[in-house]
Amino acid sequence: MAADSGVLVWVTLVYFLVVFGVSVWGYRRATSEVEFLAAGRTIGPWVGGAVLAATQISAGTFVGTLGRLYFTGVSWTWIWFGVWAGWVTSAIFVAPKLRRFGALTVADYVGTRFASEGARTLAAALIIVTYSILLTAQFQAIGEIASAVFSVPPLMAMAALLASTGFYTALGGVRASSYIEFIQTLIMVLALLCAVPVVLVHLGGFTPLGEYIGSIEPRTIGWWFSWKELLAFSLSFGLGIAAAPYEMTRYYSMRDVATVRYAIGISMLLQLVIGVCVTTLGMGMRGLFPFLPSPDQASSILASTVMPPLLGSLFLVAMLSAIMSTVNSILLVTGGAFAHDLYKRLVNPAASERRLVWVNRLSIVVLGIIPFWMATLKLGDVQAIVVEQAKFIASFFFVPVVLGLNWRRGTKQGAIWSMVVGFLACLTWTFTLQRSFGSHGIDSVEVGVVASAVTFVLVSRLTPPTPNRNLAIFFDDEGEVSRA
Amino acid sequence: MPVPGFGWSFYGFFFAAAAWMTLYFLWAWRAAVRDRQGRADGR
Repeated sequence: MAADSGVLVWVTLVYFLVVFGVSVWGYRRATSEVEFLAAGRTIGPWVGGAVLAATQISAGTFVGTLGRLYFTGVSWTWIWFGVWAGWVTSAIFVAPKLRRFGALTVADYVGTRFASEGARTLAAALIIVTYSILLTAQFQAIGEIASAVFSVPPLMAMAALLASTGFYTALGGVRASSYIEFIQTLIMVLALLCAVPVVLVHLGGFTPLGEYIGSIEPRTIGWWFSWKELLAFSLSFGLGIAAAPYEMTRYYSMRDVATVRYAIGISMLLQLVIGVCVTTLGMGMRGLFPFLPSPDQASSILASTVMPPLLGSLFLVAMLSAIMSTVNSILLVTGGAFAHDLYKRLVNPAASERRLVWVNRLSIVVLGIIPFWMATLKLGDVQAIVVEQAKFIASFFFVPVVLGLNWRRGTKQGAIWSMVVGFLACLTWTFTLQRSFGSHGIDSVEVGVVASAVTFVLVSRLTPPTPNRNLAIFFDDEGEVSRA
Repeated sequence: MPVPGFGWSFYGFFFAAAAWMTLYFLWAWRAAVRDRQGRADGR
């Protein structure tokens, strides 16, 4: 079994050496906030595209998605169009304006666009709370994977994840993280591309695979999900991605607006490769092991039983990369929200650049330890936490971001109330009415976003407009002008 | 050549994804050209 072999130890060791080498390189260059939080705005389209793909792909892709494809077959692949619709929405309506604005955090945008420190503080606080919950799920996930695959105690695996990812995130900031995520994406793509032929050789090719799994369950090679179901799932994913803070902050680190657009395209291409490979592997594992007790076991059995030691080890390191890149992105956003939006604005406005960089580092460590502690309490099911927090983020953030960037009349009162109402509507629907109306296809994210949009428009209409000096950077066509 | 067993849920995805990516990059390229022209015009 690859998980027991010395090969895995060596592959993991080389991986960590590269990661720490890059983070030390980043540490030397992270001398100011713009270097630490935006990589000096130097990230190009290829690294940027890989970064966006890495933040999108998580352990859930390798375990949950592969498992779902194992069980339900090919139709789940169409969900990617919902994900990409979110990316395209971001590319058209969000990313160019944010990059042109050229700030450091998402709350920076909220504070400036709506001329409100209150809206900025609320946005930063909501981001820290919801992303800390998401981080809790990531810690729980690594604990469960380590326990199932390596028979390592979950607490030990969680501590190792916190120590390694927290270390390189705090040390190198966005610059080092971007290059590490580029490497992590390459590892993920390489591992998946290597795994596909291995599985297909075991099965004798695509033709026997299609015929065999079709004979077990015909819907796995047809439409397990109806178009209505796929549309509902796609809407949930797309709404969350179009205004996801951990994606949006990365736009600030790219060279210019054109780079951001190309990076989003490259990210979608990488996601296509990853998505097709995961689909093939999911269905392939159904062909090889048709009756696993749990579909989520498919990926760990693939790595430990089907693949040769070196490729199996690479696959496990790819899973590790997926979870580390997600944790890293979350820590950068929560750390930045605390240090830049709360500490600098509310506690110490005169703080030096050097001090701010160190407060960022300290925030990353503290905001990593809290979710780690929460994960030890096992507050809920991993997949459920991930899905629910994405719905909450979309419910309170989609409207102030997407509508706020494209409708001049939006006001600070509209933004604040839309965030509050969107959050509460999602919360109420999730815990009460979802049981009654959820069966009709109305999901909490749709309720949250609609409530947030209605509130934004109504309250904005009834309150004084935002001063033009705050709107100019977002609405006046200034080409490629950007603030460094 | 079609693979026996799989239907349009399989092939259609590849056609749709290819069209999606092509259209996206075409749009991104045209937007970059438009940005450059805007800068050249002094906007």
